[in-house]
Amino acid sequence: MLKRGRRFAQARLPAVAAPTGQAARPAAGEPSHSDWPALPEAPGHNLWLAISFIPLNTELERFLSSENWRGQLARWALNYTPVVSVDPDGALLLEIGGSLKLFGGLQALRQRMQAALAEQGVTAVLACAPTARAAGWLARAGMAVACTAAPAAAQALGAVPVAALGWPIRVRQKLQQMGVHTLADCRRLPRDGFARRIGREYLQAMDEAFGNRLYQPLPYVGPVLFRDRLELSGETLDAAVLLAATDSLLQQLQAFLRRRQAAVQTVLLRFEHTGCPPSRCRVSGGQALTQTGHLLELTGLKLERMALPEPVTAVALAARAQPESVYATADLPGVAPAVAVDPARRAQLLARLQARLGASRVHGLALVAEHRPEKAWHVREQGHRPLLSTGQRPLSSAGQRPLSSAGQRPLWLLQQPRRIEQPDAAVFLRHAERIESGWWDGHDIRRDYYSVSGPAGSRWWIYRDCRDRHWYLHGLFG
Amino acid sequence: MACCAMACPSNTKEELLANPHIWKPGSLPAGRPAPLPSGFAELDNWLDGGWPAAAVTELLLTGEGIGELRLVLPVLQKLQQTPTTGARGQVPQPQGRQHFCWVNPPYIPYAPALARHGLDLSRLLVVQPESMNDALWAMDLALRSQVCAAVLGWFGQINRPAIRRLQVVAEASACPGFVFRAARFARHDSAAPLRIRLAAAGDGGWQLDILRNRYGRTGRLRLSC
Repeated sequence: MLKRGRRFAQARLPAVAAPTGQAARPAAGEPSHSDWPALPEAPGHNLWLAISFIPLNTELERFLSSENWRGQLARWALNYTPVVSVDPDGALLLEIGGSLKLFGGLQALRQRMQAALAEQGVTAVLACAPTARAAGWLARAGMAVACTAAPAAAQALGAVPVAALGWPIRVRQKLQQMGVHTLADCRRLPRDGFARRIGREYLQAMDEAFGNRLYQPLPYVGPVLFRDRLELSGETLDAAVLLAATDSLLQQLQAFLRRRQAAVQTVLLRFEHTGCPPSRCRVSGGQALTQTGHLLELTGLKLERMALPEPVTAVALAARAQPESVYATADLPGVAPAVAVDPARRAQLLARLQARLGASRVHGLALVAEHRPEKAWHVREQGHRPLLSTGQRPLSSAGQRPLSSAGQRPLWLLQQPRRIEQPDAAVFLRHAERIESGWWDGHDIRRDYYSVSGPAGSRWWIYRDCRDRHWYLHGLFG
Repeated sequence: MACCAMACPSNTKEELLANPHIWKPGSLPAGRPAPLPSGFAELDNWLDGGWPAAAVTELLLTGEGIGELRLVLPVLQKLQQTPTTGARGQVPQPQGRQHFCWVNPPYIPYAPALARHGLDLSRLLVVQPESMNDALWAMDLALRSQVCAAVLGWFGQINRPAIRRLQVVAEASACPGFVFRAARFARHDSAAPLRIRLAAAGDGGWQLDILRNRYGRTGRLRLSC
């Protein structure tokens, strides 16, 4: 002990057992004269791993503190746990309590991360502790320890030099003058004195490190938009090359989605040319996808149809991650797939058809309550939403029933009524049905419909327009 | 078959013919899934139970508007009422196929008439490709999609490998396919196990010439509706 520290040494009191309620309460309140609260045993199941990077020179240091690099590292860390935080001083904090089983234990996980870091050419210290603050401090101090239990962590923390905590120089000097060098020394000081002389925030930080105060670091949230661009080695119009480039971009996208635990529905592709504006193409999977294999297939179908004006120099891909609705589970090998109601398959069929043929060429049918035959139905767009609805609606529900007053209708309708010669009187099979409607929208009709026998035993649905007195073929009884 | 024979040169003819993949006229293939009742008792007799559930049926039409749709509407109705279940052979009949894909129809399938015949329009998917190749591709895709209860396709000139491919896909995914073509293609070779030339009979019924039938005999029958 140095001179100045003597006053504190005198004030040191024997440990007093604090009431449990008081000990459990975060010590943010009044600093009492009681001793430091005892470490609570295993607060939750938290286990934090901190990674502190060791800069080898100033240039590297600048690079390490850059936003880009941190984001990259944080995204890498998301491979191991969903809870990642970037410390203000550049260390990464990972909550790994929930990942241990998956990666085969703490030792295996640490080795794995060490290897991955070494592969990237980064020197780093990995420290584990039950609290985020403790792990961060241990890593900062260069102590590559793995403490899973609170007492072990407290012991390791005690040896951390105050100088390594990144506290301001004023605080460090003051502590040094008091003869306080490590955290263990700090904890020997009375709390209220420490708060008054050094600062309350440092007291709180220590409480957080020792688990007496809750500290949840701000989690890292990655970008929602995925953008990537791939420069081709040469200009090409070869669909296979373009598809390969798209494939590699989609694989990046898939890794991005896995880290975010997100899905994607639509990707935008941009094929860049030298002499003209880029060609764009929108590939929609029809549903939220976590695997991008289906999108690649759809891109292939699109590329077949696309007329690229010039050779392509680069391919760019943009997509927005969205929360995945349901975890898609793959069938077990050897087990017959349950085909029950599988909306994913329906959506896949539709997306494939629309990708190759164009959205307008794939449609459903719906009824319209209307007397004019050509307006009594309409095309039901097959968008991403209703997707061949499952058909649970009863047949007779409203809107599914044709107008009851209508006479017999043919199964085939011609796109445009075809003008015919006046039929022979012998071929008429049925009395006329007059349809006169539509005066309100300018498309009014007045027609007498007959069914007649056509060539080769067919039956036609024809009408005579009461205005121009001509005969038209409008449908076939298929 | 050649490769099978080469692989086991000691096989006798009987052993070879025991191979379930060889079809013998008049015999029922072992793994045939339960046929789909056509709604016409006489036709069911000829087809040993009804339309094949896992094959392509080729209907060759002597004209348009001769009631070709009315012939298949009963089976479409039945398919939408009961999800296909029990199989007679080993080919599993998965449930949950609820949709009907119409590929390349020559005219607009008229919704009011279809609804009146009891079809659920929300299960209908109409595909209108630009070219015959696209149409074949779409039918192939719909057959193998495991979503469709039946796929109907209208084609003109298509070659034997194309029909063969459709047949293989229909068999593999246990999905019935109906191919409508003009009667002039009757003399062209086809891999469909059931080929029927359809002509109108005077009373709104049909005259069916069964040209090829893996499930029974060939010949002519008249149906009335």
